[in-house]
Amino acid sequence: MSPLDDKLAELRARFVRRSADAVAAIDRATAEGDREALIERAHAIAGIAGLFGFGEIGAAALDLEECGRAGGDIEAAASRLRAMLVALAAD
Amino acid sequence: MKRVLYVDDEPDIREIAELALGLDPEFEVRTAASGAEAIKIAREWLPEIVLLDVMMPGMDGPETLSQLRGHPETLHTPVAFVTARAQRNEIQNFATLDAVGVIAKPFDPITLPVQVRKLMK
Repeated sequence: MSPLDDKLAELRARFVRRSADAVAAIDRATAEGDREALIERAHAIAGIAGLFGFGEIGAAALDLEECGRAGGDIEAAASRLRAMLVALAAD
Repeated sequence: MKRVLYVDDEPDIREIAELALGLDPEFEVRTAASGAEAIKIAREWLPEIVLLDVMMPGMDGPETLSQLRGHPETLHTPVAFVTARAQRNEIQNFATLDAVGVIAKPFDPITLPVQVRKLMK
């Protein structure tokens, strides 16, 4: 494996390990009604998930981010992203 | 060597971008974690291209580009935006900000150096 492959594998594994933390963060932000925290978390996930082969999670995070920035109802988008992260954490 | 500066607030993406761009033996790569750091490095190091994340806390990508244009050392430095929104609807807006192009996030690490070379022509 090249150094790039090694790094991608390492970061991918870390992303999976931290998916449960992301779920907890989404739950916390949702419970507190903290839209900014949700948008920030979504933005971070949107930027990296696709790099590790989790394109659908990245797209769901981008939907949440864009919906949040547009002032829309983010509950459904947050719930969709959360479900994907829960599934990833359970793998 | 061609100097490439990659700017992103997300450390994982900086690491991957640095390794990916390093696949091109002619690229000398540095990274910056913020717009302010990018401006400081660019004025001293004089990169041949700056790859700029659009959404960053504090100074975002467009603001960073605007400030780069305010310094004589970086007045004409080519800048490309890197954004998850590239496939959506903001490409035209970026073009008017005098960027040389837009790289879609997530980028393919293997083809990133090729994309950057095309933007440098």
